[in-house]
Amino acid sequence: MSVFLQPIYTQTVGSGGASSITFNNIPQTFTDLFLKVSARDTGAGTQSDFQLRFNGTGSGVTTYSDTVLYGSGSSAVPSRHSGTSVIYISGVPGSSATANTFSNAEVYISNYTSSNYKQVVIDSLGENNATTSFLFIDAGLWRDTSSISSITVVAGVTAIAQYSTISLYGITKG
Amino acid sequence: MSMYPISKTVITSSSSSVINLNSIPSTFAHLQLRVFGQTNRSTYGIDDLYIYLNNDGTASYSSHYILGSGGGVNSGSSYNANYITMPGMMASSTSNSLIFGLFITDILDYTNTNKNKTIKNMGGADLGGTSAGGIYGYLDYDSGCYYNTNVVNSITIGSASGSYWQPGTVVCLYGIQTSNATGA
Repeated sequence: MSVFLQPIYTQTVGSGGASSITFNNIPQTFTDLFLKVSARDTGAGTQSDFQLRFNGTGSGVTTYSDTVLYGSGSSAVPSRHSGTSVIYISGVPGSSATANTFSNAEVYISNYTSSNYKQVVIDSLGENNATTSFLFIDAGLWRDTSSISSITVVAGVTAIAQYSTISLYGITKG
Repeated sequence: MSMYPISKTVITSSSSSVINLNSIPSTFAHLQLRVFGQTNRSTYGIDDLYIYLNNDGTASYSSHYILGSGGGVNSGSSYNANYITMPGMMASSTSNSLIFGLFITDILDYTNTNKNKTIKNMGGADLGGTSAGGIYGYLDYDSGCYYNTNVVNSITIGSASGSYWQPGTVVCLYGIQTSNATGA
């Protein structure tokens, strides 16, 4: 029987926070990958842009890009990044957002073992009990033909806050 | 398998503007709600919805949205509100009795007592190129938060106009598990 949504890994941040979360040794047996992100940044600001990286690529690469539509609570705005070293998971609440409030984000990584470039779709939002809070829809691209074997999520400002949880799932088609 | 059906509610008579899902088990990591529905709102082909948790209708919610009409897109918000708003999310029978709307709601970490409950709603309805009250359809993507760290044990979905849910409306609730492995 094929399994549609298979849990692979989950990491929960302990006291003191974490600068990043990495999932290593991702099985190569699924069609797609899927992340659920319930997180908060300890850094200042109402929202943080978390960073998504594959296979341990560092800040020196320029192989990532994304196209974005976001809302702020008062306007809807298109945006784009290219030649970047990350794809952004934006809208994560920062320390200025309402206390104990975390993101609700999903990252869908299609055909992660293929020899094509890797296309990613992200919906990401936080909340804040005020007029302004941000929600994003993002199509991201990693221009690399390697199979994805590790995923790293990096805090956008300071650190990923305690109680933040990121879960990785494998999806099989057919 | 990590996604399990918890409940399925099928509306068989047009007699209420709210749908309640009670006694939600606390044995999953996340919840997903899938609603295929229609209200009987008059004049407009689209209805606005609201959602609140744990039967708590006090000023404990905020919401923010992106709403596309096909002719434009805008963003709005509410806070210190009695519920999470979902503008333009549902079809009404005024347009066409065969047109239903659809939305999916995700609630992450719904049993975590260290977290307020952040919600994502995505959905809408297209009216097939026919205007009903000047509306041809809406696509809605919105966030909401319940500023309470209690475990979520009930969900209420209502028509903001007070219109009744129509027969054929189907509400399915799923529970999603996670892995104990960390991959660190």
